[in-house]
Amino acid sequence: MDFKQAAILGSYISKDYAEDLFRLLATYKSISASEAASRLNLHIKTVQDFLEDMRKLEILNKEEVYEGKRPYFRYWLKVKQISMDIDLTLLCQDEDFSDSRISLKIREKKNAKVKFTTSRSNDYLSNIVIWVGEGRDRKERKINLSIPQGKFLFHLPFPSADYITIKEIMNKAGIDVLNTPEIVDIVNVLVEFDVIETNT
Amino acid sequence: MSYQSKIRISIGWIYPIGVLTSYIIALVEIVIREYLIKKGYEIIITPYFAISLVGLFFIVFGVIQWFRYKNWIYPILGILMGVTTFFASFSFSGHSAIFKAIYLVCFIVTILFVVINWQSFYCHERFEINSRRLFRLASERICQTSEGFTERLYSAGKVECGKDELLGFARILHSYYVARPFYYENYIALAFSMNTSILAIKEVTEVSHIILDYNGNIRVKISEKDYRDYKERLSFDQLCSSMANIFIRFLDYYQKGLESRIVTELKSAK
Repeated sequence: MDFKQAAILGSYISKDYAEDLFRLLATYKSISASEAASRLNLHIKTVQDFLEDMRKLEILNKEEVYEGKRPYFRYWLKVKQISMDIDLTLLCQDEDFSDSRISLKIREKKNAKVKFTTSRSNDYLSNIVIWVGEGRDRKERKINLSIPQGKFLFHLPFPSADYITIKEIMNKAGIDVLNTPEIVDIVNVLVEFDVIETNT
Repeated sequence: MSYQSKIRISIGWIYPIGVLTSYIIALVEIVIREYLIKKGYEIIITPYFAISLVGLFFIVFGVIQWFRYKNWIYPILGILMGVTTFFASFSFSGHSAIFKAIYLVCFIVTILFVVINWQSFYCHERFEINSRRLFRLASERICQTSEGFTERLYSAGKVECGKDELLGFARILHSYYVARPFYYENYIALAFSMNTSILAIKEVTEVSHIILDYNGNIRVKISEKDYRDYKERLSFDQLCSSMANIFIRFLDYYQKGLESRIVTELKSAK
């Protein structure tokens, strides 16, 4: 199950009526949306959406039936147990960190409208405050940094200095290769906020 | 090659310029007054206007220095000098004795204030002069004007140096009035500034400073106020690097027992 599917399942399971609906599905051989809605006193659209999304998650099966009137769907349980199994390692943007991303040349952007806070030990940055917007709409966005991220940004070239690759900065800061994903992540965020500029 | 400094002149230069200007104004006023006396006007020759102007100049300049240096002794001295100057005009003949007495009291209080705070005045001046020399030295070989100011610390590498050596080095720089040391658990910060009085600061982060940790790492922070005192927007990373190199060189002199070279080199800054 991927994260999006798990999120859909999680959101439905957290509903007040989820347990009652699953109880009906476990009790009945098959059930239509209108039958379930009338039984639980819910709106038919609510039940319909629930049953259809559960079918998409392959928890239910459905069949179109004709009983003299217009066709409708009947649903029944496809599985006897629901297990939510999410592989979190898939969330890591594990691109080709060895080459393309970390060979990107970067430096701090001039007049970046940002405030850097140095740690007490003065060897890494502890957070960055970025001001977004202008005038009355100006908002403060504070990003707390992990120690590798703080060390990385501490060694980021100054706005007037030459661009350096992410890999070189990591070497200079003594950051482990295992921290590459979080470094690339903070670089992406700061590029988005115009704090870091890349040499394109 | 131009010998023109890359740094704006010190605010202290306004004193001699102001006093010289006021002498000229006083002379002009005396000439005008003499002319008017000859014409039959009943006025005395004392240049009240020029003297009052000088008094006002001292007060205003004291307040300006207060804003710049963040040191309370300057506005107090300015006010004392201003009031004394103002009453000086009444100390001439033809005025009540009480004015003369007030002038005398103000004069004595001013002198006493200077004597009591002499150490602060002297140390501030020395620190400021040497800080200017430091910044001049740092910018000597920088021609690029790509700006690039940032609030971040500049990591300038590592030197081979023990804790005791660093403490000794900090003491030497303090005794030469080059930088004021601030001692922390894992590092020493050496503060220097062309603007804010480093005698008045509570935290080293208020001014430019060099951080030397006990592992030998060197970091540089140049404050925006000091950076803006350069006439040109010099390449900021080069300036930080150059400043770090100066301190590394000074440390090297200290390690070799050649401390006197520190002052010689500072004085050579153009």
